[in-house]
Amino acid sequence: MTAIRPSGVTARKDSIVAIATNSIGTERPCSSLADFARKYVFPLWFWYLGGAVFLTITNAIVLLLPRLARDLVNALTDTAPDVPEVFAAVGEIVPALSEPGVSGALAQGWTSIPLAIIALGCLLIVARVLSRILFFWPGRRVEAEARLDLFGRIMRAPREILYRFGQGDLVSRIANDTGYLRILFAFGMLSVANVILLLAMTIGAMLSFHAGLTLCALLPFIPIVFLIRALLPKIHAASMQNQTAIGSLSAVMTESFRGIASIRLHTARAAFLERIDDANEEVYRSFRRLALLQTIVIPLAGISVRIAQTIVLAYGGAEVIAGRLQAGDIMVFNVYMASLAVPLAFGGGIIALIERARSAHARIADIFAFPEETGCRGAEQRGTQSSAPQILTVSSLSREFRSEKTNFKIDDVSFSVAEQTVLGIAGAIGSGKSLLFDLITRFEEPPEGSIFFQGRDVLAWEPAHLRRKIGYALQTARFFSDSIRANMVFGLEKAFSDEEIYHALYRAAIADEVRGFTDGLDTITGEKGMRLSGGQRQRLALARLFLREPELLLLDDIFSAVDQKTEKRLIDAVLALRKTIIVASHRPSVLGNCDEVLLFSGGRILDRGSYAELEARRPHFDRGGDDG
Amino acid sequence: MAKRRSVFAGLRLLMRLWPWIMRRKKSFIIVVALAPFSALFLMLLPNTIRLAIDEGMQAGDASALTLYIFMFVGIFVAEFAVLSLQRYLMAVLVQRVVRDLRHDLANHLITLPAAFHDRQLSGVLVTRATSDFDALSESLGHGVFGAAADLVALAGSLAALVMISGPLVFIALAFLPVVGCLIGLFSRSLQKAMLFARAKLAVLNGFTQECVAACATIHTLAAEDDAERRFESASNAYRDAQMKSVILDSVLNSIIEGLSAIALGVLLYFAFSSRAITPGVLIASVACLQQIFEPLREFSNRIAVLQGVFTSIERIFGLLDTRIACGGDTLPVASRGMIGARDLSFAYTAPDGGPGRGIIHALSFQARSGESVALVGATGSGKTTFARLLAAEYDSYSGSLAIDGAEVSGLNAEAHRSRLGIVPQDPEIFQGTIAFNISLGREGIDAAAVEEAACAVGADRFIARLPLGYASHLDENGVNLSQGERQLIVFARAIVNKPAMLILDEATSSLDAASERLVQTAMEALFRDRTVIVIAHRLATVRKCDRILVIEEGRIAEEGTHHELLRAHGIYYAMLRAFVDREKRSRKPV
Repeated sequence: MTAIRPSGVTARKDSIVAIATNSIGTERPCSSLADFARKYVFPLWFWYLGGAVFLTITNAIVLLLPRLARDLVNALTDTAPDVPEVFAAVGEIVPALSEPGVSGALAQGWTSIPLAIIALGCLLIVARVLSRILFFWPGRRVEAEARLDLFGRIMRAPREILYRFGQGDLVSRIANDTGYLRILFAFGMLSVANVILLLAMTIGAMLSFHAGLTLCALLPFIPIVFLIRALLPKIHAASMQNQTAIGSLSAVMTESFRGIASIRLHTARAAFLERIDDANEEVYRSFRRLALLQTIVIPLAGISVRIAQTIVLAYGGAEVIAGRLQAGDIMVFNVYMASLAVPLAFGGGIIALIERARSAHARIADIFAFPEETGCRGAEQRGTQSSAPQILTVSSLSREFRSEKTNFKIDDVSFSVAEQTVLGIAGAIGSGKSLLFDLITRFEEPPEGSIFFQGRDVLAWEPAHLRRKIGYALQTARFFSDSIRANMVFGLEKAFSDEEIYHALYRAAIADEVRGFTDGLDTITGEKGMRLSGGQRQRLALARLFLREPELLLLDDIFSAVDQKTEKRLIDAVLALRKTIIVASHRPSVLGNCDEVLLFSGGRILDRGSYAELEARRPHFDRGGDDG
Repeated sequence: MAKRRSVFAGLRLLMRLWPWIMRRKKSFIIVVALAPFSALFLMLLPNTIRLAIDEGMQAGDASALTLYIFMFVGIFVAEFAVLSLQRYLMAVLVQRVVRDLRHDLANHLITLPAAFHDRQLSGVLVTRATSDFDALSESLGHGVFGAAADLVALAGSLAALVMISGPLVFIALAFLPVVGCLIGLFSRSLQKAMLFARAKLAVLNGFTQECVAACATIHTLAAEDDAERRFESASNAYRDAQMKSVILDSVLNSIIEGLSAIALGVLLYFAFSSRAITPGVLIASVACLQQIFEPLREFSNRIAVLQGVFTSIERIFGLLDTRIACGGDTLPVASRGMIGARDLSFAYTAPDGGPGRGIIHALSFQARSGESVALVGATGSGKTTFARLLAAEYDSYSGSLAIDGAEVSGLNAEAHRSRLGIVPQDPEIFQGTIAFNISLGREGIDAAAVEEAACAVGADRFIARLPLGYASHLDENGVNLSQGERQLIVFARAIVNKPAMLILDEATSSLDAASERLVQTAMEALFRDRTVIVIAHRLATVRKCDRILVIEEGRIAEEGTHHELLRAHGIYYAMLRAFVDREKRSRKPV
C-alpha cells in the first residue's frame, strides 16, 4: 500500500537526500478521474475480479431458479418436451441430478428439483455475500488511501493553502469528497458490473427461449431508458437547487445564532425569524419540486416491467395457445422481466454517481495541484558560508508580498545573531517582524543566499529539519484534544519520561499549575478538554518548544496575551535558558533584556542598538517609531 | 452520542412528531387511506396472471386471455397512479412536517434567554436546525413511511397467496418468524456496529479539523509525520469499523434473498406433491412469494435509516423541550432612565444546574435620569454581569434592581429591552444593508429614524460616500467597513429607538487611531440626554462620565468623579497608572 503513495510517511524520516529525490520524483497523481483510478483503483484489481466472479455465480443462480421452477410447471401441463435441457443446466451445479435414471422420467425424479432449488438458495447466500464484500472492501481502501494522501498533502502544503481554500472547505474535501469517490468505486462498480452481467445473462437466457418474444418484451425498455436519461438532468438541477437552498438556510441560521446576543438585546427576533422562515420555505419548495420529479422518474422502471409483462402475457399467451410455448416459459419470462427492473433503476443512478464523483475528484485534484512545499535545493552548491560563531546571518534580505489587502515587505535587511545572545525586534504591526520569522523558518521562501543558519543557506535545509532546530513560537499556538503529555511530545520520535516533560514545563513556568491539575500530565486540553487561559496556553506552547531543545528560538510577540506578572516570569524563564533568541515585542520589560534591539519600520531596519541607546535616541520608539 | 434503543423507545420518539403530522391532517389521511388500495392491487395482480394462464392460455381461450390482459393493464395503471400519488403526498407531507418543526425550533431557540445561550455553542444549534432536519427529511419518508408501506405490501401479498392457493400460505408464514428473528438479531449487531463506526468517524473528523486548524503549529513542530501517522490509524479504524457494518448488512440482505429461493423450493415441493395444482396457480404463487420477500428485504435495509431518524428526533426534541423562562409580564411605563440597585446579589447557574460562584455581592447604587456612570474594574469583577442584569437577561438575582421604579425581574424582558439602548460586548454586523443593520427590522423604525441615528453618531458621512448609501450591502463579517465604521453602525443601532437609558459595554479590541477618533466623537452623541451605564476600557470614556464606580469582586470598592478618585490615591488611581502605561505601549502608529 505504501508503495503507491507518492510522499509516504516513510520517505520523510531522516534523510535529506531521500526528501530531495522524493520531491523531484513526486508524481502528479490525479489530474483526471481516470488517473485517480489508475493510481488507487487498478492496484486492487484482484478484489474486483473476485467480486465479478462471485457476481457471475450469483446471477447464474438467480437465472437458474425460475428455469428449474419452469420445469415443474411444464410438467403439470401434459406436454413436457424439454426436460433434458433443464436437467443439463442443473447438472452443471448439482451433478447428482444428471444421472440417467432421473433425467429420463420426471415423474419419479421431480423431488430433486425443489431440493436443487433449496441447495442453490444456500449457495446464493454465500455467493451474494462474497460478491458484495469483494466490491465494497477495495472501495473502502481506495477511500482510506486517497484520504491519507490528501491529508498528507495538506499537512505539507505551504500555509497559503489555508487562505486559498479555508479550513472548513479543506476538512470537507478530506471527509466528504473522498467519500463520493468511494461510493463510485464500491457501490458504483458493483452496480455497473451487476447491470452488465445481469443484462447480458438475462437477455441471453431469454433469447435462447424465444427470440421473438424477447425482442418484443424488451421494446418498452428502450423509450423508458431515453425518458430517464432526459429527466435526469432535471433531477440533477433540482437537487442542486435544493443543495443551494439548504446552504443558504444554514448560512442564515449560523448568522442568527452567532449573533443571538445582539438579536436578543435589540429585540430584533422578528426580523431574523422572518429571514429563517424565508430560507426554510425555499428549502421546502425545492424539496417539493424534487419530490415531484422523483415521483415521475422512480416508477418508470416499474412501469416498463409491467408493460413488458403485459407483452409477455399477450404475445407469449398467443404462443402458448398455438402450442409453441408452455405456461412455465411464461413464468420464466415474467421473473426475468422483474429482475431487469433493478439494473434499469440503478443504470440512471450510476450516471449521477459518476457525475458526483467527477466533481468530488476535481475538488481533490485542486489540492494535489497545489504546489508542495519545496524541499532543500542543491545542498552541495551552497555549502558553508562562514565559520564564525554566528548561528544566524541575514544579509541584504529583501522580499515583498503584495495582495489586494496586504502589503508585507522586508527591504534590504542585514544582521547576524551570535550564539547565546538575545536579539530584540521592535516595530509596529506590519513593520515586517512576522515576515522575517516566516522567512527564517521557510514558511515563506527567502531569496537565495540571504539567510544562513549555522553557516548554511536555509534553502539548503530541508524545511522540517530546519524547523526542528529553530523553535518558532507563534502568537496563536494550538493544542490537540489530547493529554498535555501527548501535546508536549507531538511530532517527536524519542520517548520522554515524565521528569523530562516536567522539566520543560518548569522552564516555561507552568509546571506547578500542571501538577495542580487533578490528572497532571494526563489532563486533556484542546477544544474538548480543560480550558486553559491565554497565559497558560502560551507557556504550555513554550514548554513544548523547550522540550525540543531548539538551537535558536524565535518568539513572535508571545507576551502580549499574558498579564504582567506572567510576563515577568516568562521572560526570566526564557533568559535563564541561555539560548540564542530572537524576540519580537514592544514591551520595554522584554526589549530591555536584549543584547541588541533592531527597530523595524516599513520592512527596513530603522535603527539598532541596545534598548537604552534606542530609548535615548528615539523616546517612545517602542510605540512603533512614532514620537507623537 | 447516539445510543441503542428498543423498538418501543423508537416508536415513542416517532409519536413526538404526531402534533406536527396532525397539522397536515388532510394529506396524512389520504396517504393512509390509499394504503389498502396498494395492498389490494398487490392481491389482484398475481390473481389476474393466474386467470390469464389457466383460463386463457391453458384453456386455449384467446378472448378470455385478452380480457385478463386488459384487466392486468387496468390494475397496474391504477397501481402506479395510487402509488405515485401516495409517494408524492407523503414526500410533501414529510417536507411540511420538517418545515413546520424547523420553524418552531428556530422560534423556540431564538426566544430562549441568555441563560440558555450562554452554555450553547452556536455551531451546535446550527447543526441541530440544519443537519438533523436534513437527516429527518431524507429518511422520515424512506424510513418510517417506507417501513409502514412494507408492512402493507406484505399483508397484501400474503392475502393474495391465500386467495390463490389457500394452504400454501402456511409455507410463507413459516418463513416469516425466521426472517423476523434474523432481522431482529442482525439489527441489534448492526446498530452496535454502526454506532461504533460513527464514533470512529467522529474521532477522525475531529482530528482532521484540529490538524487543519493547527497547520502552522504542526509545521513549526515539524510534526507532519506524526500527524499523518495518527490520521492513518484513525482513518483505518473508521474504515474497518465501517466495513464491519457493511459485512453485517450484506450478510443479512443475502440471507433474506437466499431464504426467498429456499422458500421457493419448499413451496414447489408442497405444491407439486399435491398434483392437483394448475400451472396458473403455481406461477401466481411463485409471483406472490417474490412479492412477500421483497418488502422483507426492503425492511432490513431501513434499519440504518430508522436509527438515524430516531437520533435526529431525539436531538431536535431535546432542544424543543428546554424550558427556561426569564422575566415577568409587567410592561415598562415611563422611561426616564432612573436606576436603583439595593443589596443586589447574583450568581450564574452552574453547568450542573446548581448555584454557581457569586458574581455580584450586595451591590447598592442609584443613577439619576440623564446621569452617566462608568463601571471600571478587573476582568471578572462583575461589570458585564451587572449590565446584563440591567438588560433583564437574568431574573434570578436577590435584592432589588429597579428601573424607573419597576423591578427588573417582573418586567417583560422584551418590552423592557425595546426601550433600552445597548451596545453589547461583541456586536455583530449582519448580512444585509446598512439600513437593516441599524434598524434590525424592528417595528416602528423607519428610514427617517435610521438616518437620524446615523447622523447623530456621525456615521452619515461615510455612508454618504458609499455608492448605494444606506442600501449598501454589508458582508457577513462587515469586512468592507473599517473597525471604527462598524462601531458607528452599532452605535446608531443602539440609539435608533431613542432610548432614555443606554448600556455600553465597550469592546476591548484596540482600534486604530483613525477609528478611535471617529468613535470618540460619536460617544458625545451617545451620552447626550440620557442615562448611560458604561463598562469603560478607554480612558477618554471614563473621564467623560459623571460618576465612576470601581467594582471589585462584585462589590463597589470606590465611587466618585474622576478627580475625586484620583485625589483619593486608591484602587482607581493605581488602575489608571497601569492603564496609562498599557495604553502607551499598545498604541499603534498613525
